Amino acid sequence: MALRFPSLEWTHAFRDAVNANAAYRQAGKDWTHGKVAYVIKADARLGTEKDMAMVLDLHQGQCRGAEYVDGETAKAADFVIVADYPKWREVLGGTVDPTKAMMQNKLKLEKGHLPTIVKFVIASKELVRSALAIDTDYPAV
Amino acid sequence: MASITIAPSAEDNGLANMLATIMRQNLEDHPERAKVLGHLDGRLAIFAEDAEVAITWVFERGEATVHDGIVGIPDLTIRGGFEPIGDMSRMESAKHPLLKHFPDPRGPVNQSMWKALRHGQLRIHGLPRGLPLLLAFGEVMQIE
Repeated sequence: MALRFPSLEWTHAFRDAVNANAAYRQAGKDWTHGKVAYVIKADARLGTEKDMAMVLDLHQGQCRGAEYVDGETAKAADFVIVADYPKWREVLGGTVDPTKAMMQNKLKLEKGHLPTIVKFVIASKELVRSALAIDTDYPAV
Repeated sequence: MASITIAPSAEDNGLANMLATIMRQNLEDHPERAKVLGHLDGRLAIFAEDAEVAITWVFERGEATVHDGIVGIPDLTIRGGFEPIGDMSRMESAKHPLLKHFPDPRGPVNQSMWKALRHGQLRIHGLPRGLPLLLAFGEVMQIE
């Protein structure tokens, strides 16, 4: 059954998909820089009245845990990437590359050390590519 | 002390924000590079064609300002796909201390860049005159 995006269930499926992605495991094996939050801005189409986020506890090519929290809580993560829902759908749905999305200002790094993200650009791409393995119910844009 | 500014026109330009952030954070991590930035002089344009985004860096007496689009007549223009342009900060420097300002031809990122240059996926206009600007910019932006 397709999982509704975004949700706690989808976030847990994302964690499992990341851990099943051998390419991420290899590209992210030297990642020791902490948690990454994907913040989705509040959107009536999602039924969210406030910003919501998936926070991934990434360490050495593994996702040790994943939480679905509000945007304020997500600010405690080491890296905070923010976008509105249609942009996340494009990136996680595989139609737009995350680097291209950042260049186009569709994704914004609101917290964190950008050179580290660039250094781990292949891991970052594999991270979002993991989402393609999830049977996802994306609300209509 | 070098200053890095995003021109008002570039506030919503993602590439401009990315490059300015990398430059600022690199200078925090490697303060010695401020000297290199301080000596930069000229205009460097970057156009990520498939992302449809362009910026121009204006370097003048230790001040670096990034503008939206192509502004003025650039001394050096880098055009190409977003991937090789995004990889430019990851280029590897030669290990030998005397060659540290030059790219390491054996580096895997550098090899993919040469390939992009050979296949026209990355084009640099303004060489050889702009080579010092290119090398100095690369040194300031390099991520280790």
